[in-house]
Amino acid sequence: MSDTVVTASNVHKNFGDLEVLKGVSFDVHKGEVVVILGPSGSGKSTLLRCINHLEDMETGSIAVNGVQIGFETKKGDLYRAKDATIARQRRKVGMVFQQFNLFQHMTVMENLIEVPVRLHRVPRDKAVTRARDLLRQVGLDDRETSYPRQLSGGQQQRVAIARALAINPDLLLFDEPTSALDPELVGEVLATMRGLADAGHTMIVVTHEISFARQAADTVIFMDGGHIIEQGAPENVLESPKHERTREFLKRFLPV
Amino acid sequence: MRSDTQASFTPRLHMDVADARTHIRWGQWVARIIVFLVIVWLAQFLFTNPNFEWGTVWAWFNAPSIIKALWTTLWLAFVSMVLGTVLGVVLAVARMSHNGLLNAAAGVYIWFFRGTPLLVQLIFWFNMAALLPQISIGIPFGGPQLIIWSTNDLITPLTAALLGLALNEAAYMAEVIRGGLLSVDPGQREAARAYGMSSGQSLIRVVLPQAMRSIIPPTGNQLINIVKATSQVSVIAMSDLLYTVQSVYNRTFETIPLLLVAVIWYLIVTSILNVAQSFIEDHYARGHNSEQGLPALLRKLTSKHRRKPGGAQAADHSQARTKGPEK
Ligand SMILES: Nc1ncnc2c1ncn2[C@@H]1O[C@H](COP(=O)(O)OP(=O)(O)O)[C@@H](O)[C@H]1O
Ligand SMILES: [Mg+2]
Repeated sequence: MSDTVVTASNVHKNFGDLEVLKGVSFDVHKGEVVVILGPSGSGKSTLLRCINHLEDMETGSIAVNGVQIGFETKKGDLYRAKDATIARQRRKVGMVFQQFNLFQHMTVMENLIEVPVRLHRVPRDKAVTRARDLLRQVGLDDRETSYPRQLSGGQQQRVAIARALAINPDLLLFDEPTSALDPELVGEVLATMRGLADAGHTMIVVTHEISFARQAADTVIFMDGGHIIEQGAPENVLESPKHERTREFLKRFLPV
Repeated sequence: MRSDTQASFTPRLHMDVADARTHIRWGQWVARIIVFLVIVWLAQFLFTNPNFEWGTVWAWFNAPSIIKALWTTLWLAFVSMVLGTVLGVVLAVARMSHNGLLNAAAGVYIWFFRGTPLLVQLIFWFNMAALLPQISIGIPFGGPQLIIWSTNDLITPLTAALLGLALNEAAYMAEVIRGGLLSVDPGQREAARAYGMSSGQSLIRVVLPQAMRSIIPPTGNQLINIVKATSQVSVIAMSDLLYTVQSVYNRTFETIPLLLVAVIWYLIVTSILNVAQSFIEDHYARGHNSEQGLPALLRKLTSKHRRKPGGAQAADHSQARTKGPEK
């Protein structure tokens, strides 16, 4: 199908002797929001990092818009790509981290225009205009000149989301974007992410926020022990899970 | 239950703490008196001992030969520091690379140059010709040589001094820079990588600027050290500040006053470097405190006026600062 953004098939990944991903396959379509749930240590972050080749993998393949990030084909043979090529292949994938990872020595505005101006060769004034739009969108248009440390965790994460949008991404990856936040700040970040989902962005979100999965996901994937145990529409996976392990996991999130 | 225990605790006195008096601190007063006596004694020693010959000191202080020697000392320190820092960055990056051979080579370099005295290295470079009479570019192991230099022509006091100081400095700067690079949160490099920066771009745009905050203070020390270390080139007849005052007092026998000339100039230079360092430190604290551009010294003076009216603002600053190192 031509509207497939991510195709992962039979992904295996080891850290030394530890088998972390044991044959993972899934597709993500354009505009689809996929939420990955699963206990800690089940391989969710590793899977996300394999998608933009922050981690190498043992066997299998992942393609983003038809490109296998980290590899190139020459005369029908697959080669490991050079660093410069890999860097270029990553440029349409935005990533939002648990610890925000905003560039600490740059202001909010500098964080948003750094990659577009330096790497994508967007003219500076255009990048600034676009950054202002994005800051308005995430509700931080008055913080352009602040440094990350002067913002709350929730504000930093919203800036990080704006930074991801600033590259006009084909795909957005979120690794537990609200796990490092104080409980009262989680809501503002989730609201921003729901806005992106409604706007039609293609997103893969690793989170423990079941409510977000329920409201925003098109597909929920449940992982455990390096396998995808169950995947499907949120009403199926969350309300009537087929698998015992999914039921066990979801029980923890039931209102007491 | 709780209100019971609270009720049973009744302070006996209620007096305004504003009226509280302070005990006299005898120890502090004894210390002050001792310091005062030492200062008086020192002043008397400096101004009444005729052997200092202060008149001679001021007569030589800005003599043309001394000023020329001062410039030699300054640019020798500056050029060796620049060369040493550039080579130090290369060594630090090599030391942190996954390439085992590069890593080991950088390690051996640092081990050798930090493990031998600078004075010995300087004399060694100066006597290079005894080890290697000719330096040539060409095909090794008996192949034809394209260019041949005589080592004696190449190694002057100047080149020996620069080689010795810069190569030695590189070993120290490599460790300073490596420490700085390691102090930056790995998440920063990770974000740079995820957004498509090459490792060079990530180093220059993201990691180094943040590493500067911990690189600057020890670099300031290194710079002050190298200004003083230049005095060791006097043994290879490089006419720096110390060599020049020595050659003057060898003629005139005004040993103490001429040494004082050197001491005062070294102190002036190192004091200026100290002030410059605090300005640079503040520049690279970008994102770590809210008042930029003011060096710590000035900030201390201005903060007294600020703290009172805007208590909330002051609290905000201190919070931003204490948050600093945790991430
Ligand atoms: N860089 C690494 N080196 C070694 N082991 C790792 C590394 N990263 C993750 N792991 C291990 O891989 C497993 C899966 O980790 P991760 O993908 O982070 O799980 P999750 O995100 O689902 O909590 C864990 O057992 C973890 O300890
Ligand atoms: Mg994780």
